[in-house]
Order: sequence, then structure tokens, then C-alpha cells
Amino acid sequence: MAAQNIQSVPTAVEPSRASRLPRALVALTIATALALAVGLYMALVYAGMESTQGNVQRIFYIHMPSFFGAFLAFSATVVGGGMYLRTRQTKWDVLALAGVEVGLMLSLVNLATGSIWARPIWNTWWTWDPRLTSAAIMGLTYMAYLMLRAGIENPEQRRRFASVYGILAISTVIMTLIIIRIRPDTIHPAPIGGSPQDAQGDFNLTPSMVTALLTNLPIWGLLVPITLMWWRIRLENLRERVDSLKIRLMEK
Amino acid sequence: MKTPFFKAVIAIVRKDMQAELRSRELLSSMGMFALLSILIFSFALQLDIVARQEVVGGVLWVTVVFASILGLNRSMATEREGSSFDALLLAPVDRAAVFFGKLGGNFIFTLTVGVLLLPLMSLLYNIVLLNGYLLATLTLGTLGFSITGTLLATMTVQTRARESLLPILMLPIALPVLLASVNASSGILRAAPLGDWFAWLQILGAVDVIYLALCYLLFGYVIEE
Amino acid sequence: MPETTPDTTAYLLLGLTAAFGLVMLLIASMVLRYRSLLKDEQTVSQLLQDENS
Repeated sequence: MAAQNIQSVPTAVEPSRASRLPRALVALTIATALALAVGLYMALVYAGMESTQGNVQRIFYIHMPSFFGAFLAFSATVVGGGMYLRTRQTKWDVLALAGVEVGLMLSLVNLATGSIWARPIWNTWWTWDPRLTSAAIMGLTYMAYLMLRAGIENPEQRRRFASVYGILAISTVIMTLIIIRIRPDTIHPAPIGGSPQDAQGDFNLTPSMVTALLTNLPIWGLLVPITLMWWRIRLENLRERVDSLKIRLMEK
Repeated sequence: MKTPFFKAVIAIVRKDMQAELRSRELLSSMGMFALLSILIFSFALQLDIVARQEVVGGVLWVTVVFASILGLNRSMATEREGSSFDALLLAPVDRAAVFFGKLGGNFIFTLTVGVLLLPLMSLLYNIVLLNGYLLATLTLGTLGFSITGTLLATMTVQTRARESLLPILMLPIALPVLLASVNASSGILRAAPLGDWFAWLQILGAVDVIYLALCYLLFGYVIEE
Repeated sequence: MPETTPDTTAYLLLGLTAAFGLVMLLIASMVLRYRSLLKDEQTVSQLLQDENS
């Protein structure tokens, strides 16, 4: 887990600490960038064109994996929140916050790509499909998380409340995952395990499409969220350090 | 010595009841809001009978959830203003008893408003809403709102934004409760066969149990000093 | 029965722009925040050193 790489706040004044980059992070970042290029190649070139939808179907190789990336990031928020409440170590709350920001970005990717795909296929940018609605509310929940954080000045209370809300908020993610199974009136195709009866824009995956999906799944579902969260954690650590310096300055 | 758990819960619920009997502040504002809300809906949605059957469940639940938010905000603000919350925390009672006590009070108030709405809506929308299953759905749904609401209102009342933050935090979390409730009530009102909607009632019960366990576990963390 | 495949390439490009644009947006915001924090850190530690001496 990326949380192990969080440095403790140093007591001495040493501005150079921030510029020291862990080699693992540099390697991970390069690997992620390369993997994204490979994933793009698989999606745009390797996978065969879907005959009824045309090229726009290729957006699916980003659309679905990005949801799982968001799911991973929001799960990190639950772990971070739970561990913060247990141990009261700031690093766990930092992990939770990083999870929310990265997860929010990935769920926006998920929503945007879905909406753009829906325009030519469903003939509309937006429809009140249950899963679409649920995914949008999921995004709003995590925006509410950020608003909650912004509304509390005491850092200890902010971390505590944010941890509680971060744990509760996962219910909207789970809801989005299972809603196509319990609301049969969705028109959302389910690529795994059979679509609902009235799914529209469904397609059958050929072997090359499956390969493209399986390469993109760990890229957008694992590499991208982990790399971005790590960077986000570094940013938050710097903020903590600057804040503690400011407090020291005020105490003088 | 700690006061026994159930005694403490009942004492807190009774305290809220007595305060309410004296001031009638909560029930009157929630009731007034609910009344206005269903009137506005009936004007805004000029509906024929078929469409009415479809939307009346939604109207009921939207009204109940907003009335419950209104009540939660009011009840927590009163605790905060009179600093009776601090007194409660200092008293030798279990934190969990405080949660169940506040939950009990909020639940009873919201349910009262919801139950009063049923005959009124039957009248205004010309659909018979007095039905045992609908009452069960109302009870379970209201319970779900009260569970999440009690935890979140205890949090938001301690923040800067206070009242405005509660609906923002609570509506998405209460979404599973709302979804199951609306679907179950629509099925009941359409007089659909039991098999079509009974699963929703079961889902609603399951969601309530999960939220109750989760919010009970988390409540201790939002009232630390 | 041969169906004609619609040309939806424009939407694909739009989708890719949106996806990578959003990732870039997060990265850009992190870079900006990081820079301004580094500046803050320098100012504050300068002030701290001035007070020490």
C-alpha cells in the first residue's frame, strides 16, 4: 500500500526534503505512462472494430476499467478511514483523502466516457438510467466528502469526521455496482455475466476485444489510481509539513 | 456507576418527547412542511389517475426525507444551543445509548409525520394509501433515514456550514433506502402481485440492518470531545 | 444481412480527449498546489531562520 511511503513530519527546518523523490515512485510513474500507451494501442489498433457501433465502442476499454480504478481508490478511502479511527495516525487520513480525489477523477472519466458513448448509441448524452443515476450520485457523495472536510477547521475533528463519512460513502459505490442486477429496467449493458433483457447497445466480445479489455483493466484499474494516489499523498505530506512550520512560526 | 443501557435509551427518548410536548416546535414545523410539500406537488404535477398512481410513492418519499432532514437539523440544533448534548456526554451513560436515544426520538417524530400524511394524501390524490404493507414500508424507510440522519446530523451540527450540509451529506447515503422504499410503495400502490415488490421490502430491511450496525459503530467517533 | 457500420470515430476522439483531459486536469492541479506549497515552505522557513538569528 502506498501509505507506507508517507514520511513523518520532520521537526527540523529542511526545505530540501520535498524535492527528494523515491525511486520506486519514479519507476512506477514511468511504468504507468508506458502502460497507458500500450493500453491505448490495444484499444485503438489491436482490438477489432465492433460492426454495429463503429469506432466509438473502443471507448469502452477506458470506460469500464476507470470505474474499477475509482472503486479501488474509494476502497483505499475506507481502509484509510478505518485505520485512522483505530490508530489516529495522520498518514491514514492522508491515504483516505488521496483516494477520494483520485477516485472522483476516475469516476468523472467513467461518466464522461459513458456519456460520450451514449450519444451515438442511445441517441442522448444523458438518460435517467438507474446505473447512470447511481454513478452520478456516487460522484456527488465524494464531492460532499470534500465539502465536509472544507467545513471543519479543527484538523483532528476534520480527519475523524471525514473518516466516518468516507466509510459510509462506499455504500453508494456498492449500490452502483449491484444496481443493474436489482433494477431490471436498466438499459445499461453488463459486459460480464449477461446483460439485462432490455439492454441497448450491447455487444458481443470477440477474443481480440477481450484481450484489449484485460490489458486496460489493470492499467486504469490499478496502475493509474495507485500512481496518482501516491503523488497526491506526497502533496498532502508537504502540506502537513508547511502547516506545522507555520504553527511553529506563529508560536515564536 | 453507569445507568443500564435500556434505561438510558428510554430516558433520552422520553426527554425529547417531553420537550416536544411542551414546545411542539419540531412536529409543527415538520408537519407544516410536509403539508405544503404535497400541496405543491399536487399543483405542480397536474396528473391523471394512471400517472398519479405512478408518482404518488415518489411524492410521499421525497416529502418524508426532507421532513426528516428538517426535523434532524432542528432537534440537533436544540441540543447544541442548550448544550444539553455536552451534559449527555458527561452523564454516566453509554455512548451507544445516546445514539439509540436520539435515533428513537427522531424516528418517532418522522414516522408520526409520515403516518399523518397517508390519509391526507389519500384524500388529495384520490388513491387509498391506508394499507398494512405500505405502513410497513413507511416504518422501515423512515427508520433508515433516521439511522443515517442521526449519525450525520450529529456531525454536521458541529461544522461551520451546519444546516446546509446535512442534506448534501445525507441524501446520497440514504439513496439505497429511498430507492427500495419508492419501488416497494409503487408496487403496493399499483396493487401489483406480492412477488413483484416484496423483494424490495426485504432489501429495505437488509439495508436498515447494515446501516444500523455501521452507524452504531461509527457514532462513538463523532461525539468525542 | 450485411449491416453498415456507422462512422463514430469523432465520438471516440471526443471520449479519449475527455478521459485524458480529466487525468491531466488532476495532475495539473496537483502540480500547481505542490508549487505554491513549496513557495510557502521557503517563505516560512526563511522567516523562521530570520527569527532564530
